[in-house]
Amino acid sequence: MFRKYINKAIKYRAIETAIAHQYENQKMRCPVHLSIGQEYWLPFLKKNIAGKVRCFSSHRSHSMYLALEGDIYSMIEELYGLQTGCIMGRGGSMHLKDLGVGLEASVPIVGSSLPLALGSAFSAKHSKQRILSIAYFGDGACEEGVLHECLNYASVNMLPILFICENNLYSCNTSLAKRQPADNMTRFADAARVKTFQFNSSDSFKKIDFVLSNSIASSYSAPVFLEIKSYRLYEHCGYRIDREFGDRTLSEYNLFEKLDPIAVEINRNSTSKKLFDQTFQDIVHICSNIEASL
Amino acid sequence: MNSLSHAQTILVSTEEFLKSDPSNVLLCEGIADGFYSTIDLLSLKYPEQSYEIPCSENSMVGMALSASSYEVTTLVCLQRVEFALLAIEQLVNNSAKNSFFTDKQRNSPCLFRFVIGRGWGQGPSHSQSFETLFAQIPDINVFMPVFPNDSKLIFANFKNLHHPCISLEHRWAHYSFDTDASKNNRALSSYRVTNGKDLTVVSYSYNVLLAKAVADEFKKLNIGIEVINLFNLSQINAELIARSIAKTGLLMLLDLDDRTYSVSSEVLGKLALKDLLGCLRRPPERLSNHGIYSPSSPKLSVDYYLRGTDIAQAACDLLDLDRYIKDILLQQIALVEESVPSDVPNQNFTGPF
Repeated sequence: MFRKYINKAIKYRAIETAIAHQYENQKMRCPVHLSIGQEYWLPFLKKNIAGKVRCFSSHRSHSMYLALEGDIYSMIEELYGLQTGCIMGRGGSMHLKDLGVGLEASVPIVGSSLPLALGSAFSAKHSKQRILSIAYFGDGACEEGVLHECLNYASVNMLPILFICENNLYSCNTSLAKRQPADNMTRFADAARVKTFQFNSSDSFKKIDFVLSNSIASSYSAPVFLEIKSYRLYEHCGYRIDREFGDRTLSEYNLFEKLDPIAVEINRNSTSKKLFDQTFQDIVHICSNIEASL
Repeated sequence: MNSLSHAQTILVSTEEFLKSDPSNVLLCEGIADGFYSTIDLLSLKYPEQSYEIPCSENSMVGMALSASSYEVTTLVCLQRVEFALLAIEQLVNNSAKNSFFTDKQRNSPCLFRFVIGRGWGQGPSHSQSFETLFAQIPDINVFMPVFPNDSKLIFANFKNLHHPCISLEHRWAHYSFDTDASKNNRALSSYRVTNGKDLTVVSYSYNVLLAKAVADEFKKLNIGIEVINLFNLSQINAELIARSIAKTGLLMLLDLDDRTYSVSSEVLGKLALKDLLGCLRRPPERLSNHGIYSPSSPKLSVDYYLRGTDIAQAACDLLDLDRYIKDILLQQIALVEESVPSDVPNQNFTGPF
């Protein structure tokens, strides 16, 4: 039933892994924040969006770019700083956007894109347009005052906005436990009386699809806060697997690696493995060609 | 001649803004309070386009910036410049960057009105202007209106500009009326407020009114002071100033605050880089308020603020005027200044803001 979407998530994993593979060559000369380990829900976002969407991301902008199905070749060109890239080489990995698919902005200042999403929702509501505005951010942004401001205003004015908080437990290399007194990001939305939803990587694809569908449907008439729990398998910024940087322990990494739904799928299904390998090779090929032309 | 005061003109311009297009919106903290009579009753007349905003300056400024990239055009009023400092993150990080990233496919033609306080015990937290701080943000248009027509021009044009506009309104300039010179200005650009052949005074915001009052007194003795209102701090018209000093050979610059990297520094830098200061017979003089913060007490703040007598004294020195003439001028200007208590803009002002 969800094969098409699972395959997309596998492709996203392959694309990100290929970027990590090529990054070592030092030709992508911009900070790259990969989303490896966090792809499992991405295809289900697009699946449930019907109509116009305006999305605002953080620095880990590959996720939204992939989720909204931005042009992959343009994205890779952007990582190489080419003028033909999706933002003409002006922003690199941290500022990815593709206006054609609704990725309006990616801002690498934590929490800074939240008011932009709010503005999109405000404009849509004032003009009575059925447009979904999405603010995509991490658990680190929940430590910024501006999140409180945005939730508060969205709630008072019933703005059509979906706050997607992807809680990957880390801000750079600092664990959530050192930064916040609780591990539940929905508590911020509760304080502003904003409706909340949650899922995590252990949930079934059926549940993930169901929660996303409900979250999106609800956010056309009132703000919604969706907390997605995930785990970043690679380092905060860069191409290496992150097993023991900062606050991480090897035992924690091993646990989440075992739970990673995309890896589980690739390991147990030869067709999935083939899809991963083929996509990986395709991206490496594209990257190699670009690198040869630099 | 426009017989409306500056505040009344802003009110009329805001109403025209709301009336002209239902997608034009007004956002203000305490919107029903009238914002110094500049938006009186508009939230009742245009309730669908009027939005109260909470004490969330950063998100509200960011929201307005972003919304103006889409279906609406936004006008935001914040009571004091100091509150806007809470929004500096959005102004710096997001004001015109999206336009850069999208090659002008996403612009933010919005207007922010931030008010500079003075007098009636405003003290050090309600009287700062920080114009250079805002003007340093790339692609933001910073205006400092003095006369009614200045604000009229801002309202008439901001929607057609690609980038956000900030109007730093001096609270005491709300009571000004147009002069022939201000009325005749047709562009969002620096202009001459008075003509004169003897001394050039480059100024902006409330200090323009001070300089004009001084120039009017000097004119009675046939001494011509050419007062230039910079008005648009993002595009200082160096050629206008150069033409004036080529004529007068003397230059005085008035900053609102005594700051490092001030507006006058920028003006002098522009002139120096174009080798346009060679015509000066004496080194330029620059004046500003005396000190870093305005004390709250009226007795103390009187010594803090730049006065007409300070400008007149410096002008006399630059012009090397006879002591007898100097005394007459200083006495006359002091007389006019002392007719109104130093902590109010006029006799009718009752505070608190």
